[in-house]
Amino acid sequence: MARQGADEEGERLNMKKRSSRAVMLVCLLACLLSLLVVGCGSSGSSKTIKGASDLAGKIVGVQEGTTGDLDITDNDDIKVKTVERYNTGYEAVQALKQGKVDAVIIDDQPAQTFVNQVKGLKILDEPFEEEQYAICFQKGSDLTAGFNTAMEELKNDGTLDKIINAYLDASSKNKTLQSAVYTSPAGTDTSKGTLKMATSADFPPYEYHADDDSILGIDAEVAQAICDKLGYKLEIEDMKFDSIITSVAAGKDDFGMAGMTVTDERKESVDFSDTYVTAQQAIIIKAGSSSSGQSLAQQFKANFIDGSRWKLLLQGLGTTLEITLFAVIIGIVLGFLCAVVRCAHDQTGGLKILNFICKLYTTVIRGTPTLLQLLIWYFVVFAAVDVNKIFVCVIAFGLNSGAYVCEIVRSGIMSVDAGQMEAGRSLGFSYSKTMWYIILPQAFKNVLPAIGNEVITLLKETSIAGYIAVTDLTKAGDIIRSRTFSAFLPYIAVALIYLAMVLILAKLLGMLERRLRESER
Amino acid sequence: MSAEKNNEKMPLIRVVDLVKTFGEHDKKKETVHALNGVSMDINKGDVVVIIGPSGSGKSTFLRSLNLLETPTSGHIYLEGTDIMGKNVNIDRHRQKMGMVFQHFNLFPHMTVLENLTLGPIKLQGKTEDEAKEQAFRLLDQVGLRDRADSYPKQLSGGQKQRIAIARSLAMSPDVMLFDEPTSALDPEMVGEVLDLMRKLAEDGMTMVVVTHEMGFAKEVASRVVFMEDGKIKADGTPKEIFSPDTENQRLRDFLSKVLA
Repeated sequence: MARQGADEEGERLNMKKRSSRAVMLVCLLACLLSLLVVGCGSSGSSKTIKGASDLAGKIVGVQEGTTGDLDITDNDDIKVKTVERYNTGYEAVQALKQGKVDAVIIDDQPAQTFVNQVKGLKILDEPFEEEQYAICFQKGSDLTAGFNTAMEELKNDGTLDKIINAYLDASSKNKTLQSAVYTSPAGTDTSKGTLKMATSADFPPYEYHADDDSILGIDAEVAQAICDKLGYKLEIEDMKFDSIITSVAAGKDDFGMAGMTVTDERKESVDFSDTYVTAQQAIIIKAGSSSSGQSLAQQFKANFIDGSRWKLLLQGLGTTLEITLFAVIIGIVLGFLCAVVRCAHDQTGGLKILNFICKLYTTVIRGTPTLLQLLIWYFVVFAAVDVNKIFVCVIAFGLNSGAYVCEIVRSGIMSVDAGQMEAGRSLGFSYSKTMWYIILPQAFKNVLPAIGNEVITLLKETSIAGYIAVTDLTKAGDIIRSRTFSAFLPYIAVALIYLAMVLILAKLLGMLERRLRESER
Repeated sequence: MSAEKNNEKMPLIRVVDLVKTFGEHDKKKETVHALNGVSMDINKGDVVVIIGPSGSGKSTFLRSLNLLETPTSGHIYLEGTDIMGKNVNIDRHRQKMGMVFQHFNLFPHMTVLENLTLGPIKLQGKTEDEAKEQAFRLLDQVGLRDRADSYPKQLSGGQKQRIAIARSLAMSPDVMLFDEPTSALDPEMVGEVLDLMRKLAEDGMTMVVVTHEMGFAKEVASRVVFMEDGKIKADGTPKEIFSPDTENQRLRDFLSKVLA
């Protein structure tokens, strides 16, 4: 009877919890919305910008690591107030639109596309600077010469011009091409293997994600044409622009092609091919008031339905879950092992070397940022190996989580009454058997809430996988944003998906906890 | 090790000059001699009750017998084998020495039945059916067959201690060590545990009991050992120890306090 009473009590508590969750959800959405509105404020600078010289004293936005960045930073002729560096050109343009910066310096062609797509912006007639685009290779690579020859042939037979003109034509008509201009000739030989091209697909019309998720653009097509000539298969890898040189220099990718200007600084890290395009750095500024004027329904359609973009989110979700699942398994196994070693050392004095290794492991992992660990795994540890990036994520997040689980489980083991170990030993169980049959089951029950918390943290932490160009859920939202030029819906959708996953996870853990506790009532 | 194996002459347990000190590595603290040269023979069928004031070393002595406490020096022979030797598998010897604790130390995540069958299955290689059959026999013996599927938290203190005794018996030990088995019980539950221990003694189980229950010592013990300051100060039959005209002044003081 008392049991039934308790159930009713639990039911009431549950209802209360449910309604408070709904309130929390609404609050969260309200916060997100208000952030968005505040973000639209203006930095309010008075003098209008008519040319490069007017940039003095202004806040200038650039894409990090691009020529625009290099040219304006530490420029002795034009002393700007600050340079704001964004991960993508799109973010810089968005910042300009929201008034966070006064002007954006970016390559001419992408500037054209941005101005066409984002209303209320204009390009100054006077360009900031002229520049030459080329393909970069690892220092001393024997591909350079072959690429130069192939490119010369493409220039001569008109293929190069055909590709470039098609794209420039489309962008001047405010359009983005959704299918390739160049097609590989029938029977193209790809016997020499695969070449990996590093690019940053947020730089239309040189490279961008088409609606069907393939990467299109001048660079992608020129690269395809060159590879066809040389007898290679082409594989394109999308990453942040400032990772391309690192990746090519480390030999992770065979060449980099991303509207990349030849500079002396870059020449120190990589070799360049002959230039294939001459472009300009343009200055974008705000032009009067603007409003996209799309209804929410239209925006929803543009962000999720058009080009089946919801599929991208679904794929990203799959990747996020895959990484989380395997990382959790590694983390828990490793964490338990590590905790047992450390406790065994504390209680018996043995396992000195293993204990030292475990201590070092937890210290290093807990003492450095997760993102840095991920970058080190990918660009340092697995630098010379062609390795599945999801695998790298699983390793990085699994090892990271293991260190935290270790400390959690250690506290769980220590919270088990010392009499339990004595009882087990007095029956004749060895230390390890007592640990396994008697201490760990109790410790596990004690730490389940904390481990659940760690799993939730891990799930969200995988959102940094995009830094090594893994299309997880967050990156998927990012890609949609870079195609539809709207941030609100993709990001809110991604946030809601994470929230839903965490709520489900918390619910499942609660159920498991209750089942384990039943025995102790 | 082989030199010590002369079973015929040896008692079940022989303790020779056992010393246990605490805090000798800590220079800030004074070294405490918990055991100060204790020697004792325990024969098969003996029921040895150890009494003495708190801090006299009686619990340390008991816990040293199965090496839950590591003695500083001395020897402990179990059936002729020095279990303090370097190449001794202490886990095998502990199976022959059941231990009952003041705080029961039942495994809270297991049912009563699982508490009783874990050791026999995992350590003695019994099948689950064999172990269960034996467990039910023991539960009958301690009168708790109906609690087989309960969890320890659902039992009273006296029931827990009876289950703990049954758990030790499940390993078929040669000797049972009791470390103040009734000290943590409510007064009304002490009787049921002492009754069970009395039955065990009558069945011929070798027992070493640390307790404050003088009634139990008088009635059940074959030998009573009085310890003080880490030493055995008196050792004899209950009649000798509890005799009002014992010459041992310390023993008389102690008894006058606990029997008052």
